[in-house]
Amino acid sequence: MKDLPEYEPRSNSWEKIIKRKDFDSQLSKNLNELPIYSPSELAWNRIEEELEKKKQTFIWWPLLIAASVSGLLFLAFYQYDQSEIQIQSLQQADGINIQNLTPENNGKGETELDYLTGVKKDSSSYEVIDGEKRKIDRTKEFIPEIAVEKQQELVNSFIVKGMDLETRGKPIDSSEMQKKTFHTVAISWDIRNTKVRLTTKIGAPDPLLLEAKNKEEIYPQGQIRLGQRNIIDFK
Amino acid sequence: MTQIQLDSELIEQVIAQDRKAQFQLFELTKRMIYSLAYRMLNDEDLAHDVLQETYVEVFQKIRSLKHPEALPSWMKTIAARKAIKVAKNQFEFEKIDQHPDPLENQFDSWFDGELLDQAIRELPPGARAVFMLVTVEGYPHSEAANLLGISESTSKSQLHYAKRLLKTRIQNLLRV
Repeated sequence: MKDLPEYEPRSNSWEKIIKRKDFDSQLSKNLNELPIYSPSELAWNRIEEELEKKKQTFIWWPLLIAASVSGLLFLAFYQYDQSEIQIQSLQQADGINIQNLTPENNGKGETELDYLTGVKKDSSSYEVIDGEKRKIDRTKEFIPEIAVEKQQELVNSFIVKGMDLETRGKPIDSSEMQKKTFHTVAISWDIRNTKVRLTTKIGAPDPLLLEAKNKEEIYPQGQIRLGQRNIIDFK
Repeated sequence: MTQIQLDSELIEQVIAQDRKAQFQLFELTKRMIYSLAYRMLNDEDLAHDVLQETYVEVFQKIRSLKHPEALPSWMKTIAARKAIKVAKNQFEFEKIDQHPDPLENQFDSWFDGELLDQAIRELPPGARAVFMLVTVEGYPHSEAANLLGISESTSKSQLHYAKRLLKTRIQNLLRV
């Protein structure tokens, strides 16, 4: 040992040792050497018990949810059914087709019926004003159905006293005319009052002929007038 | 702390709710989780509660884990969250004195892991939680702050405070 040579360490050796004594260096080294703690032997039993408990409660959850959902559905269906019955009874009492008054039809349908005025509203009309599409609330006239009979065949010739419409200008024989009587039928109604008035005069003088006479025309002319508010049905 | 490598087959069995596999996973990881909880709370009973709650949640939610290889760190995060929840009312993040530490350059002692652990567990709860999350578990300040419900700057100042206290406590322990 005595004869062995001695070696000199590097000059920065002490500095390196001091550096390792530094708090942060020791901290990072000792973090990997922190003691490890073990839980008690009963820890797993407690976890297992808890898992079993959760398992049991977990089974009930879907059943509870399903039961509450089906209950809500039943209630909703019952409510809907009751409202349907109410609508049907109202419909029967008023004799009006209330299907058009339901919110579904109001949203989708092209026309909607004003229950109070009996007027059909066209809700699907739009107009472009200054490049902007605007909805126009148009009101259609409510036309009550007068006849529900099978549609009659249209006559080719319509004879008005004093003339034949097909062969215009050809006067009808006066002996033939005398045999016939004329009926005046006037149907009138109003938008505000839903009353329909029907006036019939049997054997009334021909208004067309009278008009022709007043104008001192040689040949009587047939004229059918359609009023702005009234429609005359010549069935 | 050594990193735990878990077999992918074992993880699959745990996902399938196999009780034996669950027990095996518990045996492999219980020390890691318990040590984290115990060090954060410095209370055995509370640490056991956290351990139990952690494993129950792990076994229940393991199906939602997208990357099974991240299972150990996922478990640690769950345990840390549970421990924070338990000790939340103990946390006090008081304003730290920003004056320079007189012992900053005067630390002249050797210490080991045992001594460091003792000093950590004696830290105030708030500073201990930050030190555990950032220095021991390696969470970035942003994530630690998020877990603790504090700002990032508070997390940084609390870490600085914790280190300063550790130096003093280690030197005191060495004197004893």
